[in-house]
Amino acid sequence: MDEITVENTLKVHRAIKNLTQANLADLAGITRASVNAIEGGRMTPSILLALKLADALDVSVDELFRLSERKSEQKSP
Amino acid sequence: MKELERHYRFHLRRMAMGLAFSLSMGVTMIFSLIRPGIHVGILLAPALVFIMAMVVLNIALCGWEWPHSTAEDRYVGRDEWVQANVNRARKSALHSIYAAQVPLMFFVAYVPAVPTVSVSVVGMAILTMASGGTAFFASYLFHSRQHIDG
Repeated sequence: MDEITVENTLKVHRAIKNLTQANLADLAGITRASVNAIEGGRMTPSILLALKLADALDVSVDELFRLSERKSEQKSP
Repeated sequence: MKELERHYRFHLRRMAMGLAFSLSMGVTMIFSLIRPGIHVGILLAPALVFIMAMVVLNIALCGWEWPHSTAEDRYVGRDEWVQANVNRARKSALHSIYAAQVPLMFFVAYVPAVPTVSVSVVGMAILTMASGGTAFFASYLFHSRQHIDG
C-alpha cells in the first residue's frame, strides 16, 4: 500500500532568505524546536502554522508543503 | 519573540526537574520497601516530602491560580510541537502505568520484609505514581530533543 506523507521545502526557502531556524521561529511566532521538527519531517504543522510559515517566508503554502506518495515494499507471492 | 525561547528553555528545565523528582520518589520507594523493619510511615514520609516539594515548587513558580495562566503557559502551551509532545508523553505515561501493574503487584506482594496489606497498597500507589510521572517526563524530554540545524 502507498503511504502518503507531507514533504516540505522549508530548509530550501529558509536558505534562500538567509534565515536561521531561530530567525524563522521568531518571524512565525513559534519555538525553534517546532521549526526543527517540521524541517526534519517529525511534525506535520496545522493549517494555521503552515500559513504562518508561508507568510514569514513570503511564499505560498503549496510551495512549502506538498503531498508525496511513498511506495512501501511489497512481498512477492 | 526572544521571550518565547526563554520560556521554552524554562519549560524544559521544569520538565527535567519533574523527571528528577519522579525518579527519586520511585527509587526511594523501592529502597524503603526492601529495607527491614518496614511500616507505612517509612513509606509515606519520603513520598509526602517529594510530593510536597513538587507542589511548593509549582506554587512558587506558577502561583495559586489553577489552571495556570503563567507567561510560560501562554507562550509555550500554544506551541504545536509542545502540544504534540505532551500528548505523546501522556500516552507513554498511561501505557507505562498499565504495563507496570503486574510487575509492581508481585514486587510489593513478595519483596517487602513484612508484606502487610497497608504496606502493599501504599507501595503500589506510590510506585504507580512514580512510574507514570517518570514515563511522562522522560518521554516528553526524549521527544523534545532537537536535531542539528543543517
